[in-house]
Amino acid sequence: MKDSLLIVMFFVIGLLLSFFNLIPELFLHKDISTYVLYILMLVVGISVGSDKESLKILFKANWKIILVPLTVVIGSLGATALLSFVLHDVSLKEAMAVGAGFGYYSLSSILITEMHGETLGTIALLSNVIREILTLMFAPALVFAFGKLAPVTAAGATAMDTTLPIITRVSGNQYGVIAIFSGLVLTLLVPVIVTFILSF
Amino acid sequence: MVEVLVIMTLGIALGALLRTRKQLIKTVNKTTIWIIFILLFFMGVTVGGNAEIMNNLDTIGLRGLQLSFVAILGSVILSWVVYKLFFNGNDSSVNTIKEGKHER
Repeated sequence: MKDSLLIVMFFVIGLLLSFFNLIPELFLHKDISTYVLYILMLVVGISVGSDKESLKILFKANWKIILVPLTVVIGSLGATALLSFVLHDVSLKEAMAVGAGFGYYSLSSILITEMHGETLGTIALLSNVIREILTLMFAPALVFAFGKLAPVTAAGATAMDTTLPIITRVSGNQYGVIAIFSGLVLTLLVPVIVTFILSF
Repeated sequence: MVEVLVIMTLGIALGALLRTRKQLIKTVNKTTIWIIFILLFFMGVTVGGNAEIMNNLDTIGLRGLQLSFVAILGSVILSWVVYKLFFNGNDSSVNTIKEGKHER
């Protein structure tokens, strides 16, 4: 939670500095973010690849546990697709790309900015930050209304780290493993699905 | 953006190879958050210089809220079905829990 706030703060600082023209021309070079994005992807990969415990969980998974990230993918993409028919200014593809962030706001917003544009990238950032915050706030209510699996699926990709403590608290420790598995699968799927949707 | 997927796959392989180098992995994990800070700062810079976005921040914020709300709703409704059908309140998974260390 603290990190999410810091991340948003860096975004806001950048936004304000540039809005009031306090940024040197050099910083406006677009290629910089592309290269930094590549470094981020490498580092995320190293982090996942070196995480033996999580990978062990990934390969020991039974068929039931695979349903959990699948639920998130179908639920998020289906619901955002439906919403796009109601909204006149967001297309099907755009809504689904934002939904495919699964709460992984840093990566999804940057990818969407690079591939589609700044406006949708900003919507993706806000939407996926809000997904994490809503999950943290309503985790107990979600268990009450939709059962113990609900906070795991609401959390999306964040279930393996930032929302893991609240999930184990409201759903019980046995849901920790399911949360790590689902979060890890979704973390890996975010770049794949976002790239796929925006390639149309 | 296929580059992104290729680079991430390379990273996973590299991470698996360097798994025993605990100190190095620790350092790499710590730099992640700073890379995200830098990227989001630059994204802010781009957005702040985009008059169209700045003039429509209220709509953009609302769309963000609507999309996250329905994405959560779709996920939890479907998860209720999966929970009732396949999990039924009891499951026998292992309880190894640890604090997350990845950054969003």
